[in-house]
Amino acid sequence: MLYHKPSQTAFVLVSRAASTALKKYLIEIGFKYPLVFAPNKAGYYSHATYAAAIAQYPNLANYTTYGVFRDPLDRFLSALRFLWKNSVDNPSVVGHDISLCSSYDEIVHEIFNWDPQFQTGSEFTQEVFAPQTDWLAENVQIIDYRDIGNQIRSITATQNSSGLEFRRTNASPTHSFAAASDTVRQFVKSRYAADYSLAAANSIEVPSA
Amino acid sequence: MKIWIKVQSDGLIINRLLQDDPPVDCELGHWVPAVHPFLGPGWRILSNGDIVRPESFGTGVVTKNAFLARLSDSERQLLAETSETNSQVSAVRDYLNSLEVVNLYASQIGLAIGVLVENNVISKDRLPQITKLSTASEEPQFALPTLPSETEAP
Repeated sequence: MLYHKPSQTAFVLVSRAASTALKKYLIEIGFKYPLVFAPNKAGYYSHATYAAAIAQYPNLANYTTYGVFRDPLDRFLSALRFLWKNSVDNPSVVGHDISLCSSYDEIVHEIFNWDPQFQTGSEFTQEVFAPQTDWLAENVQIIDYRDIGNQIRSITATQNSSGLEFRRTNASPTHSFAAASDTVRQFVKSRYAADYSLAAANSIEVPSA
Repeated sequence: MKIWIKVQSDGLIINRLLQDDPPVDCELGHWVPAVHPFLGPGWRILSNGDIVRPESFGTGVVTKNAFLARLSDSERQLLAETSETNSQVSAVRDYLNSLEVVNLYASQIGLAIGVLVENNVISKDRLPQITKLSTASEEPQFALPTLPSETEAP
């Protein structure tokens, strides 16, 4: 979570939903990125949930807080490509060498064995594959990923006196995987059912729904 | 046992302790769990999220795999042996072993190298070969969070 004390504005960072770009932009216009310690591990959260941030900094509950929502299918495929790229450097990233996989289906099979409830082993992959509802709590105002540039500019207009552009960074690598199969789409709908419900409740159009 | 560091309001780390319970005292600064096991007195956490190592540690950023590949057999052996008796080196070894997505943590590998130099696992003369500056694509794009001061806290 990042916050701007003078304007009492905060943002939760949702993994694989423009979080790196958002963090970079917000820090440059004066937001603070506070340490949120993870109680059950030695380190800290890079994408602290709303609840974890409030637990350590209770006054953040008084801030107007925003978070980005991305189409669950797009976000999931982005995570797969991200891990696929990293698995080339270090196969242990997901416990399997998915660098040899040639389709989304193969990666889903390798990592999840097609079980939508399967929880991956590492803290990193748990975060990457967590539902967005982990971050987008009831009092977090949702920003549609597809219109993120305009919405971020509008929300931060008072803090961004220099007119800094919001630029996308750390996008998952493009790769010539074929489009997601119906099986993968069904897997995502099942695994991220709560995210689809959240979108519907907030009238966010989700193409993969 | 947890590693605790004592941080001044300007970000300078002034003390380090290894114990389970949070240390308690009334001196200036406050104790927090160490984000990285090799942080200790002399390091500084800047308000923009950067962590600055003491100047004597030299510079250089390298990814885990590249770093380990550049160590000689004797340096690997020394790392293993020293980590048996030196908690700081042991923490670095464990930390290196725990890393999963190395490119995300490239800057932290650079910090680890400083500890190994300080503890004579790696000679300073070897730094040019071992700590080749990473390419732009290897540079972390990720700012590190910092503990806000009392006035900065939300």
